[in-house]
Amino acid sequence: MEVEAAVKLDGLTVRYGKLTAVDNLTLEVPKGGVFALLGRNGSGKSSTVRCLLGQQRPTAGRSTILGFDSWKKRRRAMERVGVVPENPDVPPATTANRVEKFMARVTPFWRSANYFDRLDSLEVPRKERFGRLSKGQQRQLALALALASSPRLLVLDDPTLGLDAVARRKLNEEIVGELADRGTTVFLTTHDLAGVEAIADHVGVLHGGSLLVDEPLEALKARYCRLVWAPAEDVPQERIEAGLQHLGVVGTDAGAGATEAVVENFSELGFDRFRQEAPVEVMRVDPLSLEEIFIALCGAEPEGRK
Amino acid sequence: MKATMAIMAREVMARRELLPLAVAVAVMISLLPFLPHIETYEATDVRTVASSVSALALGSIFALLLGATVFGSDLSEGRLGFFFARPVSGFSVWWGRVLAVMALVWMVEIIVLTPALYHEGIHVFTSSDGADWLPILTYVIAPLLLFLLAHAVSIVVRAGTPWMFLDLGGAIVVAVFVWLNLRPVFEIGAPIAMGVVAGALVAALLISLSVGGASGVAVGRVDLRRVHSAQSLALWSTMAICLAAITVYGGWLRNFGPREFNDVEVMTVAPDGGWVEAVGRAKGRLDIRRRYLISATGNRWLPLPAQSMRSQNGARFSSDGSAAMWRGGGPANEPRTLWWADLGRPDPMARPTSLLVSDQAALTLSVDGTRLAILEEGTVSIYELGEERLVKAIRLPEGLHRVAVVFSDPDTLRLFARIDVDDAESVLIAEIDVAAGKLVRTGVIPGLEEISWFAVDAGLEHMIVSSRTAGDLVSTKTLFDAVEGSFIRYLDAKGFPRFLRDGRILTASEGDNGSIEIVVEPDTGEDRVVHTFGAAFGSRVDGEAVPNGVIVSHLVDPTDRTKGIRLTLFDVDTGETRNIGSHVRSTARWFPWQSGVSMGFFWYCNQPAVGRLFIDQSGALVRWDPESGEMVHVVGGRK
Repeated sequence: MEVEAAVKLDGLTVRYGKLTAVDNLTLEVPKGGVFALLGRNGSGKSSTVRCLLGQQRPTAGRSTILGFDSWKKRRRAMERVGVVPENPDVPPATTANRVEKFMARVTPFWRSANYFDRLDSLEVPRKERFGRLSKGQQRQLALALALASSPRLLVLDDPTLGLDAVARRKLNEEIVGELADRGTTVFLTTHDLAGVEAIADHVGVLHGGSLLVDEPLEALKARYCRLVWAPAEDVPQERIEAGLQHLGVVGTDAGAGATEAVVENFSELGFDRFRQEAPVEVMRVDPLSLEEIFIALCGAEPEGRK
Repeated sequence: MKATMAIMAREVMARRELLPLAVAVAVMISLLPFLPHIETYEATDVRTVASSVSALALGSIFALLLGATVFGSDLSEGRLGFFFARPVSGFSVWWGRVLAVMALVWMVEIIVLTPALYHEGIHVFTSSDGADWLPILTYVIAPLLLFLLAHAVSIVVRAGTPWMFLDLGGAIVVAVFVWLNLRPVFEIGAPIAMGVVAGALVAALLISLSVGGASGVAVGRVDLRRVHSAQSLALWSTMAICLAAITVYGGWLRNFGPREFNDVEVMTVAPDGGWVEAVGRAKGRLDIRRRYLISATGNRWLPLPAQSMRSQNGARFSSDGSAAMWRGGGPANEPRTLWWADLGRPDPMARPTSLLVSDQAALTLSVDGTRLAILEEGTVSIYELGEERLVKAIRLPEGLHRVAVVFSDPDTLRLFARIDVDDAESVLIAEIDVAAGKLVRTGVIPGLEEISWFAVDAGLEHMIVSSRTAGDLVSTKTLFDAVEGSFIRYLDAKGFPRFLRDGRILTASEGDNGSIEIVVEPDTGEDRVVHTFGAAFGSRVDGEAVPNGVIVSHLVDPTDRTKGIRLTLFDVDTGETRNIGSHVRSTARWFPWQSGVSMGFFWYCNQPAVGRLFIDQSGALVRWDPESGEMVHVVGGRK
């Protein structure tokens, strides 16, 4: 079955009693890309991933993976999905060899060679119990399990957690250079914003259960920037604020030698209007990193969190 | 199925450490007979007992531990997602793990039982009553039940959601339902039905826990709270359906009327009026018997509470058959409400009284059914039955046993009791003046040894005592005055004497060539009439179906008892005979109690109503109608 979207969330809502963890979340992840779902702790990422994987029934709305309803057709959907959970959940008494035997029996497109090659290349012991492996090795094993069947969709829930810098880089390079090239869609959640900036081509930002951002990373980065201008005592503050409105100001910070403003809708036209409105000496216009954008978006507590 | 088997195999491998432990226990059991102090016992017995107990104990402990942790721990620690991230269904996850655990537990049991199996073979599984399936079922079912219970409780405790109130309420309701379903069957004393209902309840528990557990995992998946809610909903809704089905089935088992009887057993027959106390089974109702008061002459009956077949506390009738009373339902050995019915009404109804009587109390109704005497713990209490008013209570002297009291009229009771005089058994005869509340001794029959039985005629004037001196094979039958106890004469020792309604004595004994010699004589022994009833195999004299007419029964085919009994009415004055029917299975002789005042070894008199009732070959209760000469079907019988 050919579908355009690898992942589709439609009005997904998750409530725990009176707490709304995910609020009417709607998004689509096209096939073949790397989608990063970002958010602070408690923003609803894990609930979203659990619903996406059919492990939790949403309170309202639905999610589909590769065209299959995640809740109702989970078993079918999971045939072509690889999952690396936030906390590797392989039974602790099981060895890599044993878990391979199990996976070979239940996974239709399982490739043992893929699995063992990966373990061997990362020097993950095959006969050691999972519970005795280091955290990094556990995560590598989980990743090997997820990738062995050449999934069409790879769901990574904070995959770099516990990995050293080398392993993180290797994983990121693999996602970009290998999986994306094979047409595998990657849906990942992470707090490693610097790492994801290099590999994601689409990001979503969850804040307080609501989706603040859902757009290509490049477009996002183009929108956000930092203006730095010299103090101008002859320009009234009201004019500066009016000028910043053309750029969608997020916040300002007045320092001793310069004033900074983070804007979220930077454009040449808007910048010209700002300068006409507020004739200040603009020292520079800096692009923002993903991390800076994220802090600008999520630094404040969400309003109206139910 | 493939995924279920894969999960099962994985789980067995993950917990295979249990098996060496079981082997170690089995080895220890094998060595047990060689230990000091134990070597004095039979080695086979030691191994068998140790193996059986250890297998069940280990199986149960492992089932409990694994039940509490297999899913519960993984859910708490977030590890169940490993399975739900694979293309396997929730039911595969559940059943794969359950089957794995049970396979391991059963393997452990077999390994631990090996020493006993090696020495005793399959006899290890033979219970004391010879049933092979019960111990095997115990080894198989008990761990499964414990596993499922431990799992359910573990989820409830770990999740701690408000659904636990439903669980608590459900458990209480189930306990009440179990009690309500088992208690009536237990009181009826039907072990097969009890076993079936108990088995159904266990099956309901197994099914409900299985469905609850499977639904919890399949629907709740990795969310412990949702696992709990799904488990509770599925468990209790399944349980409700199962319990409703069992309750309906149990009610159907227990509740059936005389119309549905197939085999009828007559327990007590009213001396007059045609009412009988009968129990019967019905098709498909296992070993449950219902007890009814049934009118043999009209299409009426009253249900009686169930009681054990061993109980001798059947219904009691007044001599005129106008009233009956019986103990209500309730636990044995506890005082129970006394019920009564006015059988003289066109539509008799059972009515409870305010009186409580124990199982040990003896009950007697007056001839007209207006008064009741209760003999209990050495005291005779006389009540006015309609008003339930105590008229008088009289304390009996010490040293009386096997006491029987009978109303001669509403104001007078006759008492017959055995007493020991100079180490010899004697019969005490006394009269109780109800109005004065006095017991007056009227006579004693001394010097009797080993009284087998005694009988009193309808007018309470004469009594026959059958006694035997030590070493004698033939008992002596002696006629006494039933008031003063004075000796009248010895009766023919070889026969079986009984009173006819008119006070004459009929003695039947075996004659030559299989014939019966029937002697009818007045109390004086003069004017004896002797008849010889023609040769017929197995002939016996039964009840007095009409005045001076007794039933003689004999086998239709001496070589085949299944062909039934033929009945002949024998006129004791003329010797004339009249064939009144055949295809009869049993006659009044086989009814346990023939009158309303029988106690222990005491027969009151020969009852016409009794003599006319028979059980035919289909198991139905039938009545011979003297007017039409026909056999009339009353109730029951295999269709």
